[in-house]
Amino acid sequence: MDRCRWAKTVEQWFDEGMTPDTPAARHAAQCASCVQTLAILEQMREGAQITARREAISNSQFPAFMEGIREGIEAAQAPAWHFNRLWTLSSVAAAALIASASLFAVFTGERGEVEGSVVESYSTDLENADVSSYSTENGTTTVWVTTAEEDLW
Amino acid sequence: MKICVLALASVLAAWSAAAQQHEPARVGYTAVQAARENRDEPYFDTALGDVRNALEHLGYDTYRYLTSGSIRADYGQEAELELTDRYTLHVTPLSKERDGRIRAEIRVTKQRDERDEDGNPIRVNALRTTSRLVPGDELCLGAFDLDQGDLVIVLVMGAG
Repeated sequence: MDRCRWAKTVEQWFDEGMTPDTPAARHAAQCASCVQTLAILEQMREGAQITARREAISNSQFPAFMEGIREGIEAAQAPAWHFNRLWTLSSVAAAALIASASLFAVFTGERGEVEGSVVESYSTDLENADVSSYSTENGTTTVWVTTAEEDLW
Repeated sequence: MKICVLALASVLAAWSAAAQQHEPARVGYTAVQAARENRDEPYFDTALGDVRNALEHLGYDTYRYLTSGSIRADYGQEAELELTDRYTLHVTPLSKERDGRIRAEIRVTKQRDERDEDGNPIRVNALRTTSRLVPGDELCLGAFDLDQGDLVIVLVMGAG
């Protein structure tokens, strides 16, 4: 549909409150195009009124509201290079830690818990002598030669 | 650059750990003459303060200090320590175990009164043992006939 040359006048009349008995009112009553324009304008006004509904912040919500604002400000102020550097250092440190642990494990091996000193074997060339081994509670290991008779040598 | 420094540090640390495997072992020894002299209370020479705990369980009542010392012994090499005119202590560190214990062959030789054909004194093993010793723990060796008592040796091994 072609736009009526009265369209701007009618739109202004609509914005100013649709005062009756004006030239724009009289034209709008007769022009199908302007009637349609007024219907569209009315729909737009209703839609704008719905979306323009303001949310009210109660006193109990205010601290959380301000915290959100502060976080937004701080995030905006934090320079991007700071995070990049932190990530780089963290990655290098983690890699170094893994490498050091691996090398340590390779060169030193897994260490089990030390139970104490162990006597694997014992013997004597003395005649008529026996050897025994035992450990005391204080951790002293003893290897003892007992001679039954006087040593012949 | 940083990665190179860290890699170098890691290699040095690993080399240091590997080098510790080849450090000589330290051998500490104390020779004691133990005897039974019918004392009411056991007697210990004051020089035996460090090894008294290792001796108390032996049942003697008199412990006299003879000699002591500390040497470094290479792995695979026998260290010879003369304790008295008749007894000699021989220690050969064999290996350092992964759990830190030191495996060693220990001999106490006794010189016989007789001599061989060349006139050299004949020595016999009064005791021969192979043990895995916790560094710092005491190994008590005895009892070898000595004058009016017995020779007792307290041996302690550790990292060099």
